[in-house]
Amino acid sequence: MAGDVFVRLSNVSKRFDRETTVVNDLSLEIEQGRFVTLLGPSGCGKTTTLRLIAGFETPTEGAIVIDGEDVTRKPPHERCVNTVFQSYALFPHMNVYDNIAFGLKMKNVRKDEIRSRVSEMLRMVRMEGFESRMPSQLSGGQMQRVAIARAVINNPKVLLLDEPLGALDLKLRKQMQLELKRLQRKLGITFLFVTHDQEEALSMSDTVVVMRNGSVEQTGAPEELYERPKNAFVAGFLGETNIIEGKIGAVEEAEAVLVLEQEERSFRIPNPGYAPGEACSLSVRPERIRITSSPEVGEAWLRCTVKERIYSGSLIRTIATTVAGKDILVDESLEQRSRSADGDEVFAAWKPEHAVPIRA
Amino acid sequence: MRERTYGARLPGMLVTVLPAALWMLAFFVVPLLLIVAVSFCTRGEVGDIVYTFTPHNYAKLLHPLYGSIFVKSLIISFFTTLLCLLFGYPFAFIVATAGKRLRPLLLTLVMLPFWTNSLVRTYAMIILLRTEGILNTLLRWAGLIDEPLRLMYNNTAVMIGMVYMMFPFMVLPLYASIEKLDMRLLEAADDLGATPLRKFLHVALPLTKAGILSGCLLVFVPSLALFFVTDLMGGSKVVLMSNLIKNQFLTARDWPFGSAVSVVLILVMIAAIALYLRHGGKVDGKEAM
Amino acid sequence: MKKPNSFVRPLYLVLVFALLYLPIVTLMAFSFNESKLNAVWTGFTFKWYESLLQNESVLEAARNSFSVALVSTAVSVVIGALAALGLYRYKFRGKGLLDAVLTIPIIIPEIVMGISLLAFFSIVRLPLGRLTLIVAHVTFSVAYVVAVVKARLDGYDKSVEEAAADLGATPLKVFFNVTLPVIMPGVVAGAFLAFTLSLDDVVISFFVAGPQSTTLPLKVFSMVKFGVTPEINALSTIIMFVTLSAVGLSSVLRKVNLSVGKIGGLLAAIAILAGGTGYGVWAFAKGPQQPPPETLSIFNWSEYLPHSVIEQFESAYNIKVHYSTFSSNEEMLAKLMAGGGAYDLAVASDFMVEILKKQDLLLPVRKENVPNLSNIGAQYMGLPFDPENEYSLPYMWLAGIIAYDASKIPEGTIEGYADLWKPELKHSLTILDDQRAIMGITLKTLGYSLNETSPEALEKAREALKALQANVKSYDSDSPKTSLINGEAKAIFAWGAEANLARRENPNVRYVVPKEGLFLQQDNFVIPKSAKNVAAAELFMNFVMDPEISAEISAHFPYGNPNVEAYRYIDQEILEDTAVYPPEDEVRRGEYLRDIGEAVLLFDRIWSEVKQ
Repeated sequence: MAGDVFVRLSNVSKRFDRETTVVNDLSLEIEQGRFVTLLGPSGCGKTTTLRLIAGFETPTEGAIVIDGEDVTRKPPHERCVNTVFQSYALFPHMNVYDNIAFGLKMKNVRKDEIRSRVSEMLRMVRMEGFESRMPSQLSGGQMQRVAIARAVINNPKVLLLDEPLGALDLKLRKQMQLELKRLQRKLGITFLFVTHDQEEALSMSDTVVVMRNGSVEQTGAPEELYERPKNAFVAGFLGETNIIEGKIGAVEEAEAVLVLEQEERSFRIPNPGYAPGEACSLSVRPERIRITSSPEVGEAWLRCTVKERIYSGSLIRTIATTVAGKDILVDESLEQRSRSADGDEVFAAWKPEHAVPIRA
Repeated sequence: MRERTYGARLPGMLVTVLPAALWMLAFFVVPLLLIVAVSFCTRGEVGDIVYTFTPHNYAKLLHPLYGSIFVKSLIISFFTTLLCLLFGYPFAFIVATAGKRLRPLLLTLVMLPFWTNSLVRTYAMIILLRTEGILNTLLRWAGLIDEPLRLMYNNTAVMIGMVYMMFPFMVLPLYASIEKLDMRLLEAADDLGATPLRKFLHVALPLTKAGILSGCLLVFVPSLALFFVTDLMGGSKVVLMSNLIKNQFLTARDWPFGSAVSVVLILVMIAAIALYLRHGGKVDGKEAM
Repeated sequence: MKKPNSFVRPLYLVLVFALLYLPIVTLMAFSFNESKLNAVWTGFTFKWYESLLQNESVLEAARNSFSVALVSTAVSVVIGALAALGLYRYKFRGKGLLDAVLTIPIIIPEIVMGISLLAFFSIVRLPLGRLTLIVAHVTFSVAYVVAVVKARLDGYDKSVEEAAADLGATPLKVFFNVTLPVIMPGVVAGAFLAFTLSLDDVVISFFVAGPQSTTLPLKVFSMVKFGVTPEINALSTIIMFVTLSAVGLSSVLRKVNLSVGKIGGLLAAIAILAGGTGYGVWAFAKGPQQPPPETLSIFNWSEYLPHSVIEQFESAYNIKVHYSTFSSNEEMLAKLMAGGGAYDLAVASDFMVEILKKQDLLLPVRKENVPNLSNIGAQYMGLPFDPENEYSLPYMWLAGIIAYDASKIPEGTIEGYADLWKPELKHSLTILDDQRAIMGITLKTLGYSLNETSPEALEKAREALKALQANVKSYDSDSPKTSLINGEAKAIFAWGAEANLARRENPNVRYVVPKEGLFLQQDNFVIPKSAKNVAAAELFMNFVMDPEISAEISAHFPYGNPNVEAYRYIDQEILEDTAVYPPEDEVRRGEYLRDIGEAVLLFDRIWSEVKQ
């Protein structure tokens, strides 16, 4: 049923040689029917995790369960998952038809059934008429779609996509993002998508898993991760943010005071259990801040001096330096913008609920 | 490149690599080691091998007679290589810069003689160069010479024969290397005021070094083995290392001595390879292709 | 700057191509030439092709070459392609070493591989034959196949294999459905290369081919040495034509897209083509009759026994004859000692019979099984080297004669061996490539015997021989008459029959019976210890001693015939030819070679030194 845990990785580790640990005690639950993205910088282990689920790598420790079945030791051809490769990996010596039909052939499906299912697939990826073309005659986007069709035709329980859009140009990529999303909705299959592009992850996914150094930093819906990052890394990886560092001063029951010594300011933040003296930061997105000469009541603010203003079409970005010497990024739309000039002494102000406290 | 980590690696490895490894061990490595071993034995009275350990075959090699054979072989092979290079480089250059559709055709044309029997080619040479052969007949008929040119049965004839035989081996690696040369570099040199000679010396030559090295290696070393060219073109008057080895094995029946000479040949090959590697050659079967 | 370049480049190309192809084109053109000599065009004819296609030994060599090539290609392709895959895919200890071992055969001087395999085979006592050829060919082909397939694998995207597995293919299915088809063009290219290399191989085959398994290149090699008829031009043209079509075929193949279905069809086509060719050659060569159950292996001097006689023997007794030749006694001894194949019957000269006896390499001859022995003249029996004819029976005898072209050298210039040193004969001589013979006559000019072994004498001989070099144009024991016929040499020192044959072609040839005394040789049949078919050997000896057969041999190769009963069938002209039958008193004065034991090593040394 949709929403049930479909793929579970329990304490999975993968080591190459003795020194390189690529996946470190990773536990992950992926819900059925969801579009899940593994997001992270290069080398964070996301592709390896994908390959572990596909079966191209065997975990050094831990277990992988798909749809209730322990597949940890199973070779790829026995797993009910299919992969769309980064390089598409179309069989160069087979035409489009044979490529797509391959999985069905391996299962000894009847010829006429193969024929109808392949036609259906071609329709779905809008490649009708391309049956007898060879991969060398296809464009990047076309190969992409054939690769997807080839995987999806087998009705896999999970579809794994390893940075499939990396080689496409921007416009095509945006287009394919939409198509993939639509496809997933239509088929209802669990999609596990790997990318390093946070914008892509945010726009396509139901759930995003942010990874770093072989471990999961945070899992959640895109909005949640964006608005309420758990740590500086997640905050910084998804979009841009200003991280303002400070220390916990007084602690009350529901709230605590975050003291920014050098700024000579303090803010009240919700208290999940801080200890006095603990290091803590505040993450505020540039688009949540406004430059003003007079903060309103209830707004949090910092004094700063306008350093630079960058015009970029729909936004104006102001870089302002605080008393403590920190550069604050502020994005304002053309209407909102304040008419300040370089060197002006201003306030950077935001609503307290838009500031996310982040433990170190 | 990722290794296969799923499934058992070992059977796959065994099936693919083992047959070749065993075969080469049995029929390549062992025989060569055998030769090295035999080179330290002596020849019995009528040509059997007496299995004692003695370096006397190598001492025999130091005799000026054999030394001169050795030097002569190296010189002839060296000049063969040089000639192939001198003729081959411009040729390869022109082919590499020819029209895209013309190139495969030209290459095939160069390779065709190679595909024909090497003895046939040598024989063809002989017909041309003999005293009463085509060339002489033509020249005399044209009145250009009175006495027939003595083109056969000497060192020059042997060299001509070898160049004719080995030419494609120089052209192919050169071509492969020149083809990868970015012509725009030459244009840039032009733009900066380089004369054609300078362009060649300072840009083209260093960048095609790989091809030159491969070609030289593939011509020099194998040319040391072409005993039949020496036999046929040299009329048994020219004796090079390869003929020496053949004689020792078949006629004089001094297998230990013949083996010693072979070992020397192997050492020459190793030296050539070392030289090649030191100047930046790549150990890649591809170069041979 | 472009203008002058634009015709220089094509001009250079044309020049180089002209140089490359001129010899070959000439060769092909002259295959249709009426004249025997490859020099002047006298008319158009197909006759060389006809006689070639009837040349049994050539066809057999072709058959051998093809079958060896097919088998060795198949084996090396399988081994090589798998190895390339394994090397590409796996990392393991010793990978670099294996890589090197698989690359070196491409660079190594072939002769080293050839002799190492010869040594190897003789030590493991594997008789030289088709099997050894195949083994040798596979060994060098594997390296090339690996190189070609590796090059193809380089651009190979490994994820296609993962994709296949991902889509449900077991490892075996991955191999057959994905891996193999993708590398197939490389495999095919490698196969083609291996096939061509095998067909063309000279150096390695030279050492490891056995008596029954001459290959085409080796056959061409021996034909080139005799260089007498343009049959070899015809053969070369055919070979080239075959190669050309193969090249054309392969380039067509390369352009075709090898999809799965097509591969099956392709393999079938190749199999049919190869099988068809092989069968065609086979059927043609075999002729209509059934393969005879018995075989006889004969080892004889080249140009000593005509093919017609062999054929008559074969049809008379239904025994297949494998005929191999050598150019010198030493070569024969070497091959016999190397155990290179079982010869049932061989021919050895006088002193060599002594050596063979000493080495215990002969079986006694059962004279009672050779009744025609009675036809042999008494003066040829019981000679010093085998007083009871226990181990040898006379075959032919010969004398060394000097023959010269009277149109180039005035009569009376040469009267003896010593005159060969005359300065006006610079670069004019072709002499036997036979160390005992040449050193022997040199000793004679110095007043010694042919068989002198004292170091002082040999020292003088060495100096004298060195001086002779300037006059020697070439050494030739296979067919010295060729040089006299085609004008390469002005004079030759060769066996009488060669002189006689030269005169038939060139009426200007005159003889000289050297005044220092004749150098005589008696050649004899011997039966090697390793003989398998002694009965057939005896039959053959008897057959040859039949007067009419013996006369036929003499008609082709006019050597001194010891078979007095055959004289009535021999051409009077030959019997009167002083080159073949020198005056009786000269023969009595003449010397035979004796075994000189260890001194032969010194002869060896001097001979090598001198030829430098």
